[in-house]
Amino acid sequence: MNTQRNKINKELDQLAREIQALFQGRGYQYAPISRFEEYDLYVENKNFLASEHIISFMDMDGKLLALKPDITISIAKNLPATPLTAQQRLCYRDEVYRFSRENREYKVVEQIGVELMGQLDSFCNVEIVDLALDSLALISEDFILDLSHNGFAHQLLKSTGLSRRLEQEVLSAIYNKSTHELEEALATAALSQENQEDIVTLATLSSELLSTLPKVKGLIKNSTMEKYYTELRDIADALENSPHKNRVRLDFSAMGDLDYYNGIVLLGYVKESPTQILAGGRYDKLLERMEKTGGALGFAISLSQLSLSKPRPAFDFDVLALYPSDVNPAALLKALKTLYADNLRVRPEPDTSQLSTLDFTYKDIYYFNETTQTLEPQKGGEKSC
Amino acid sequence: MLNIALPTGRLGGQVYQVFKSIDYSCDDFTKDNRKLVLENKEKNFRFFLVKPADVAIYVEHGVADIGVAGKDILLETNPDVYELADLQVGKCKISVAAPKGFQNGAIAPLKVATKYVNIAKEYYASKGREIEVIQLSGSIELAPILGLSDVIVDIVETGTTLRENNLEVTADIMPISARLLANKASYKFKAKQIQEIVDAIQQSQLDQQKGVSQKQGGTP
Repeated sequence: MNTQRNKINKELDQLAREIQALFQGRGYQYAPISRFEEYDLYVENKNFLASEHIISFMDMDGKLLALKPDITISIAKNLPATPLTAQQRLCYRDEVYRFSRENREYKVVEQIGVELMGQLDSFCNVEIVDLALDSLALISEDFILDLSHNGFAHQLLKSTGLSRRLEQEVLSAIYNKSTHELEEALATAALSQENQEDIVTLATLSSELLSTLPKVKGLIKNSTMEKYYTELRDIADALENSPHKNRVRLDFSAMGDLDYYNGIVLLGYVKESPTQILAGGRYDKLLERMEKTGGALGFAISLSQLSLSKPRPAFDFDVLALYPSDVNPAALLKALKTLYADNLRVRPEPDTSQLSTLDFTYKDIYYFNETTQTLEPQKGGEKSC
Repeated sequence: MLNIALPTGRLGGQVYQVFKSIDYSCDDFTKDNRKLVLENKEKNFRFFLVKPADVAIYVEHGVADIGVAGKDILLETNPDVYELADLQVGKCKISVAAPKGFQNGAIAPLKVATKYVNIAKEYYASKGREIEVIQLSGSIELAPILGLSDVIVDIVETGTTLRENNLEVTADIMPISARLLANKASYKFKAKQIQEIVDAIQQSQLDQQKGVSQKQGGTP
């Protein structure tokens, strides 16, 4: 029985290079990011981190440094304090060091992503959504991009006058798609029937962007929500001719942290991975916190998550190449090179090795023929763990 | 093929009845065997039978598309999954219990034995009470009897075990029941089949409520 999902078939590095090329083709430049940051940077911006657990250490001058748990904060920090005169389009491929809630240990997570910062206009949302879709299309033939809008959702909840505690309960229910928990929370709130129905509508929206927009329009309460709705509509209009337009779903369970995201939020899924592999959105509040002007949009793709979704090869090596201990080294190397040229993964071993003790698996055994000076296959050499 | 993780044990039996009521059944489930994977090829799904505390892990990792776990497990482990429905079975509550006559002094940290460390910490933090948590994995009721802890935080269903050990509930923390979970990515790609199950369960619950109220009202 095989319960495994389909696997990412492309070599991960090749995939990363294709995504990098896509980013650069859209005008994104590589952002220089150091591996360490001053620990204080994260203390000051801990609300923007997924976890407060950070690996820190003292450098030779007594300065407390940290292995970076986040790339966006570093990029935002490096922006000039003076107002940006042009939009900054930056991309990166880098590692972050994050605490895993599940295993209660630190993990190295490799990410590739883009950040678009500065005076953002209505094209920027469209550009980032389109880039996210094209990135996902490079990874898998079957993908979904969940789109939501933190600003719109926050304005709707604010307009109903929910208490802070109830707002948290409602947000948690929306995030978990728990209609039963939502009903429980709303039952204790003194809201009008219309307000309750609006919140339930927001929570249960989950369909293709174009077909869902009329329902979103019906929730508009004020000019700010009208503006946010226009942002969503602009995205829908721009994707009208996109081959991926049916892969964008408006789903407010994809809301990000309200303290972080203030506009659109993106979560990307591919069929081969059990968890989201792309996350991003608009996060002006981070720049505001750093006293820098302008807006910020971006997303990151977890290459580490993709690597978990890659197929494990059936064998460690394609060929176990056995050679006599008195072999002519030059002749053996030449014979091995013919196998390397065929893209075979080859493990050379002296033929004195006890095959039963080898701690790896191989598909075929090849023997070095001293007469022909070539490696020749012997059928039936398969060994599996 | 939709993969469904069901909890083993008594809760599993109750949860199976919920699925059976919406026509998701496997004949092998009720047979006395040790099969852990039960398949219904006609309806294109399979049940995995796993330890209740592990259901959410199977779902979060996407090995199971959906599954059923107690709310206590979800609150304690906080898995990154959707919680789509309250199945209204396995109902009980998480409570604080102490030896009869226990006086809760306010100065010294309260020693709390529990397997629900996070729930206990959050509850007492909300009360502003300093505690020392003693994590146990079973027979929690023994801890205050032997002086290991002052109180326990544990699941209480009928209260019989507490009474038989001279303990009593001093506070209820929250009600608990079985919840239907879904892997987030599975929900995106198998939305139709998963949502049909959710809708059928909710319809079945509505039908049951109607049946109960009709009986109570004396209407046929």
